[in-house]
Amino acid sequence: MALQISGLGKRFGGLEAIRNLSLQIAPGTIHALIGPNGAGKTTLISLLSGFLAADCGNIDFFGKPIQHRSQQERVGAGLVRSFQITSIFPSLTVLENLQVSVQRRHHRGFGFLAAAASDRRAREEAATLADRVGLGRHLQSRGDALSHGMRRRLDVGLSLACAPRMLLMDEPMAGMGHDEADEVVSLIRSLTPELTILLVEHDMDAVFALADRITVLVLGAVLASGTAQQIRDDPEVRAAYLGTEGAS
Amino acid sequence: MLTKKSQSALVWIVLFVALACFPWLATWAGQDFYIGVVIRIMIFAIVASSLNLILGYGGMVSFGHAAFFGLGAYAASIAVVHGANNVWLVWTLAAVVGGISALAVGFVATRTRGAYFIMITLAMGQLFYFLFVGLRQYGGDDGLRMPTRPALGFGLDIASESVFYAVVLIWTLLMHLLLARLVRSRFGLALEAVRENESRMGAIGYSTRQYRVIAFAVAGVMAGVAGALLAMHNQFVSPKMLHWSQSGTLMIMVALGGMGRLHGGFLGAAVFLLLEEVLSSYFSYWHIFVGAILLLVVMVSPDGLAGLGRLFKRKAATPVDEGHAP
Repeated sequence: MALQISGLGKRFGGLEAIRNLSLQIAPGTIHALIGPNGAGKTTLISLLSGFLAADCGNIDFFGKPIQHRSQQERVGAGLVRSFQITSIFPSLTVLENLQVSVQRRHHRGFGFLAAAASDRRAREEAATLADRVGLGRHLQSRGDALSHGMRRRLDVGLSLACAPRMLLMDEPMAGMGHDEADEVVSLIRSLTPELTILLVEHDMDAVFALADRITVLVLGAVLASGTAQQIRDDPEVRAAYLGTEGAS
Repeated sequence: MLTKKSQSALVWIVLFVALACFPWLATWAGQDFYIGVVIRIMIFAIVASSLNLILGYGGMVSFGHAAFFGLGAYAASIAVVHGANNVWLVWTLAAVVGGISALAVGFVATRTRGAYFIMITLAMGQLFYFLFVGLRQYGGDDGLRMPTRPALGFGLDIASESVFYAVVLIWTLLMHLLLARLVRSRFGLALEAVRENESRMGAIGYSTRQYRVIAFAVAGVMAGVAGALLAMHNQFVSPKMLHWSQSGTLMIMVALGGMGRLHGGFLGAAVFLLLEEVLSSYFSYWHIFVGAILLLVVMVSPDGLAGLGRLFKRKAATPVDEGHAP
């Protein structure tokens, strides 16, 4: 399994945000995690990315326990998160944006004195990556001079520059709308066919077409897990979720 | 035709040579007084540049930077009062004191963001200010005299104004080169990225706080050395040097010169102190003019004086989406 979560729990005072959650995600799949507001989706992303520490439970990433690892160590292991809205470095150029993401993998130290511009290996890798996300002609443009769509591509490039084995995407549809989110996911898919993706999303309809498997989260616990068809037909899901959302 | 890079290098070499020749020129013209003015400009250029590393490149609005400057000055003066007569020792001490205190302030302050960050740095700066106001044995409110400048060695007499001028010029050059090296390094790139978007930097695997704290410590070392130089220049130090209003002055210098621009600290210090020199002899409320000039500069060019050149060039520049590698 790419990600194996068992017995995960997180409390905020009296609120049990995640309760005894277990979930398996197979390598190379797109797994969607959906749930209404307050289901604990954002908490789960924070627990998986290492931004918050879990109270109990285990998280195994490709067979290795990571629940006590820092966010930095998890990124190093290849578990990378992205954000709802486009998140880039506006005043840096496209090349610098990608280089800063690439250079962390190449070097352990801070690199106080050697010029970043002479870091040939990182620059070449950043330029190649820019080509792959379709920004090869814009290496010297500042992030804030890019069009909306190009920023999206740069955002994807920043994540891919970390050489991820698994990508945690936090509600991409909320930030960009369906069509664009579809585009981004298929861009990532075409660039890295073997990448495992956990797509956390509020809206169920949006993920039916994209996801290999879907898990429904309600009040911090898994309500159902299966293929799109199984989820669609599940009477409990229909009652708890689709009924109130009015999805057809 | 020179490349852009060698053009700007040429400008700075010319400026360096001009600064190096200035004492002879001033003496020949009978204007010895201005040697002291230029020494002050160079010392403040070092502190303003060090603040620029935190404020401009690191995006941290530190309102206590004068504390590190003053601590360096007091460290130097107190060492001399207690008999230290080796300038290398005094400089090292000032650098260590500036660096360690900045490390401590940075460590605490970087736990916070925004307005809280400003408040914490302001409060910690004022803490050091009141510490020296209260230290009676080192002059308290009245300040502390440095009886002599500690010896430089090499058979040079640092008490002579021209030797001291040369020493400050070399320090300014060294610190400027250090800053240039630092901001163009991988560290510098990462520091700017932290300023731009800290949560994204965390998400791509950086320990962002480490970068912010280190920037603080390096700036503290630079400010400490500058403080020792100012104490030696005036042969006097007072708690006023650590006061928050001094931190404000340093911030004005950086904003005037150009935040996050390599030469911003230098330009800001030079223009501010020259304005002070000229205006304060005519008007007692000269600050009002500095304020107006600062407003004008920042409105015309957000990158300060260092960004003015680029402003004129931008009009003739090619559209941005045709960018290509050099």
